[in-house]
Amino acid sequence: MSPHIALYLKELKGIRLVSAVLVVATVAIVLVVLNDASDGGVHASMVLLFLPYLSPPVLAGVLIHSITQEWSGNTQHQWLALPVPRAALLLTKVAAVLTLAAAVFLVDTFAVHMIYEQVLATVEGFLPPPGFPSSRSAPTGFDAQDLWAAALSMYGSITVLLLGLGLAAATLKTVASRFLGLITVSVFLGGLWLTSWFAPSVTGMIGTLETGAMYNPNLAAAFDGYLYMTFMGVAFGAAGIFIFDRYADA
Amino acid sequence: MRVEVDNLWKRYRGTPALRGVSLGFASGCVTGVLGENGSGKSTLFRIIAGVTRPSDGTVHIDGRDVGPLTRGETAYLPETDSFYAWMSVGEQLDFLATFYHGWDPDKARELIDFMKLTPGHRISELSQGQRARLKIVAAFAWPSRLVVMDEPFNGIDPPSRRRILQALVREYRVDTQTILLSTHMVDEVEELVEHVVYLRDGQIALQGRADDLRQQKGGSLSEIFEEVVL
Repeated sequence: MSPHIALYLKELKGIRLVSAVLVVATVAIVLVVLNDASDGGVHASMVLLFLPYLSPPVLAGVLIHSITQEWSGNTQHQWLALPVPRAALLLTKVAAVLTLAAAVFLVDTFAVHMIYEQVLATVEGFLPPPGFPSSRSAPTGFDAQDLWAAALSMYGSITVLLLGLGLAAATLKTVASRFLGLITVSVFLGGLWLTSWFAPSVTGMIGTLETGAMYNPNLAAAFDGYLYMTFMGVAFGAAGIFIFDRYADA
Repeated sequence: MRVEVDNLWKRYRGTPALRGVSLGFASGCVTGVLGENGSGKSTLFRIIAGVTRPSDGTVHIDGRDVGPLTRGETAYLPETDSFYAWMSVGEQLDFLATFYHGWDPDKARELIDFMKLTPGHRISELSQGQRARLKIVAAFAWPSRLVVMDEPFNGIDPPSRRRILQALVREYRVDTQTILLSTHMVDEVEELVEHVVYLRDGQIALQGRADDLRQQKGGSLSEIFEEVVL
């Protein structure tokens, strides 16, 4: 087994408890909603399917805890002494949290897809007869492919942005010796402020690039914002890795 | 492995822990770094092991900067327990085995037996002495070229201390392995170390071959420790 795989598996095991809670909660929500929807009707419980999409702040917290726990658990000596680049130590933790994010996303979006298909089938009776263009997507102008693309870009970009901020906050906490809580709050508030401050100019620049990239042009307007958030998340994460590589001490 | 330390400084929030230390650790020898608590022994070892960055100065191991390559040949045993509490003894060793070239599972099993450990035991259930013995297993289950042991006897009961010393004598690969060992319990390593470095207030107070120092000063390493360090 390669050292990076071993590290990744160690990190997965390290977050197994919170992973189990998140995945079990998501599956429970999905089962409740699908059970309610089995009669073919529309139910208020379907709103619950949006809850798992609110998990990115929790995932950022899991990442911060996973990094700072090396110090609080006194394992930082063994961890930092491993013969891999310091960036790999952090990136395997990010990969483990992203795996958890992917599991939550896939389970929940699968359920959203099922509900969407069901709702679509219900309203199909009101559609124009066959022969009219794109009858299945006609009511909304939005088909299943768009649903997955929209969900992935929204959830993915918010997750990457918050994980990037989490990485920056956690690495600053490993370098600093005081005001640790304040550092976390400041990094998140400052990072989000910076992201919104740069947003209008940057999204304007990339706005022309994405129009042809999306299957549905209606989603294109949102896509540049998601692309921008992903970029900012990667930038914050890179800053965190730089700080960690240069300044973190056991 | 030859370890060269040149004008090494480490400051923690402005307070120096090491003050321009320069020395070379002889290759294929056991060197004792002796000093009181706070003399800079742990900081020096952390920098050599690559887990702490120096504020100034350099460390070269066989001519290379400290990094992933040198860490791959170094067994670092920190003073504190650094094992993952949620792992079992076997899981912890299997995890380390993937990182260190030449890890020998048979040797690991033999050392586990010698150290009276059980692979299935959770690390969180081990005593301090058992954890100290596990560090020795992790260091000698593979042909590490440099072993950096920071206070291996600190807070350990006498039987565990004896086990660790026996293992050191038994497993030390003469000529191919360089051992750096820090302690303030000089009596324990009197017969083990070939070279000695006395540290005081982050600086070298005295260094040399153990036999030469004994002759020069007319006393044991422990007596020299009291004269030079205290």
